[in-house]
Amino acid sequence: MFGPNLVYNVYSIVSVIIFSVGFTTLMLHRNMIKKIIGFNIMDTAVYLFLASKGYVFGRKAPIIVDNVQSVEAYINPIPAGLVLTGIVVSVSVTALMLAITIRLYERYHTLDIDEISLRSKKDTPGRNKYYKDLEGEDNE
Amino acid sequence: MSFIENFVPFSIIICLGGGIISSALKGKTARVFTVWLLLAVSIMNACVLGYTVSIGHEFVYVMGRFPAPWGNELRAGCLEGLIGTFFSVVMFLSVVGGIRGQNDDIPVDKMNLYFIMINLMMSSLLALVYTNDLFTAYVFVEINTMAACALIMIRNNGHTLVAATKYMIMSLLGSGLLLIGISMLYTITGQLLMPDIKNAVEELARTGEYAIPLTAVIGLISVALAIKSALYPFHSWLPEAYGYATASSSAILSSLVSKGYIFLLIKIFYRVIGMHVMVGHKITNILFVFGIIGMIMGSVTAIRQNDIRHLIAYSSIAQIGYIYMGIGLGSTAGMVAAIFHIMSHGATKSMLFIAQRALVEVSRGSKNFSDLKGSGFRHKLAGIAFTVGAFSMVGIPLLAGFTSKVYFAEASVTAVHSKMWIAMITLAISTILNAVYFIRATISIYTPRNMNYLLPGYRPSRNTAVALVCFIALNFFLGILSYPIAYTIQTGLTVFG
Repeated sequence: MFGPNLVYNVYSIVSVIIFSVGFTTLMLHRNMIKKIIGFNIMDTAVYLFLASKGYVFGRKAPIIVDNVQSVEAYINPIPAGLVLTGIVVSVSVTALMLAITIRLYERYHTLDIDEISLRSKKDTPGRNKYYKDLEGEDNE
Repeated sequence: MSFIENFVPFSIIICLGGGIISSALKGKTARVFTVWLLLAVSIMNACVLGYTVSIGHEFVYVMGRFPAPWGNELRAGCLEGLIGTFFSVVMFLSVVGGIRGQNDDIPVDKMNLYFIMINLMMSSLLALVYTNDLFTAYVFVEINTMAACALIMIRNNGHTLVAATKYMIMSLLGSGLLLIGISMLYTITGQLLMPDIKNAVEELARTGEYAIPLTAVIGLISVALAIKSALYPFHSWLPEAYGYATASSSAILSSLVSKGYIFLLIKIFYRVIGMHVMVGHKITNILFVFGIIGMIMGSVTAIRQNDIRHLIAYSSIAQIGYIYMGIGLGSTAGMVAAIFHIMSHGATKSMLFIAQRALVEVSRGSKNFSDLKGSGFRHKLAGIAFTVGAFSMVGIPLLAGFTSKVYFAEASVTAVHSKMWIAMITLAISTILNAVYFIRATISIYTPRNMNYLLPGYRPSRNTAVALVCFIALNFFLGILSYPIAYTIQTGLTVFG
């Protein structure tokens, strides 16, 4: 089981370990910022996985400079393209999450998601204009 | 090639472009623009449906005329046409029906932002339906998630903020698993285009090479999409998100967003991994078990709700359970039932959310059943629509929900013995549980109570009325004329392979 395969696949193994670290942090950590960091670690692990799978030892990036046309001379460029797309996605998701975190912090003055959950339960529900006339109050 | 084939990429692209244009328009103008755009997209998708049914086979649209590894491909058969049409029509009706809700819940200066998200959501849903490339599917899954998060969050109060956060965290867990699943699938097959992957996977399944990674991939992708579509143990974000967002958003989230992911999962079952490989890896059994648990637990929790919104939300969990139960049967009949239920639940749940909003309006804005008493008399059409929706979810004949239950029952009869008994008994129990809370809700809104809950000068919204009438018609259509639709789904699945 722990033969040459382990050495050969060392990048995949490392990336899966990093992935699970990120996944667990995103799932279990209570602090919002650390959750976001966990998410980024998780995505980075996938990029490491893809990049390592696309790379072939001893070959170059697929940019033709000195007229070498042979496929054998270059690495596989598609995983690099996937990594780039993935980075774009994860950057925008991170931005969105950080924006939400700022809004949460402004409202509840904490970053602890359990605490936020508790405080939001005490929050008055958003009452709309159909409620005002009988109660005579506006809670929003 | 026919001119209509261009409608497939065009409908996706004009929605994306519509989002950009909406950002430059004023709130109300953006809404008018979006509504007309959605109508146009519905018509285009209907044309695609008509065309694919008439030619009787699928067609592949190669983007920019670059063949596959360089360019991108879209594919449309009659099933994709049907689901695309259905999604765009329900989106159109949900937006139109919730116009008054949007006016009340969304700040005026943010109205155009809401319609950017509606456009993005539509384009990502259509892309999920039509795409032929797995990585494109992942990108649009992410766009869909972000748009859904914004749709929840646009109504600015604490609950929606917390709901959106929970939704994002759950969704990101799902996206991470989906991404690594797709990456592993790419590394063992070397392909990203669905038919090419399928060939490679068949080769792998035949030779027995990479057996463990293939199992891992199947597990990762199924769990990822199950998390994203709120299958039972992963539903914790759902009640809050559906319960506090504006009515249009709730309707869209419950009837389209989760269904888009389920449809993608079905597509992966048939077009990427291959159904027999999936069934061979027993993943269908796992989905079946969780679907069954969801059917019961969703309904049991719904019975305890005293808030009409939460009741509808928990009922959604039960209905998602039905769909996964159908998928879990592992047969074509089960899949037809599941896809039919995607449609009947989509048509019914969005109607319930829109009707609920109108009922709440005439009950001092309160969502509790004690205040909702008699609201069926105060807003007659919404009362009728809610009743139709409730009866459809319970499974009263002539309505959409009944027909899908018949298909589920038929499918479970042909399944293996153990699954047949479990499915039949759970269907019966779940129908009774559905009846308990939906009939109670219906009786509650028709319990007479004085009319002075009505604000002076209250006028029902005409847009809501139009949407509700269309939804009621759609429900009866799905319930009575179900055969051509089931036939189209069946043909579509055959074309899938």
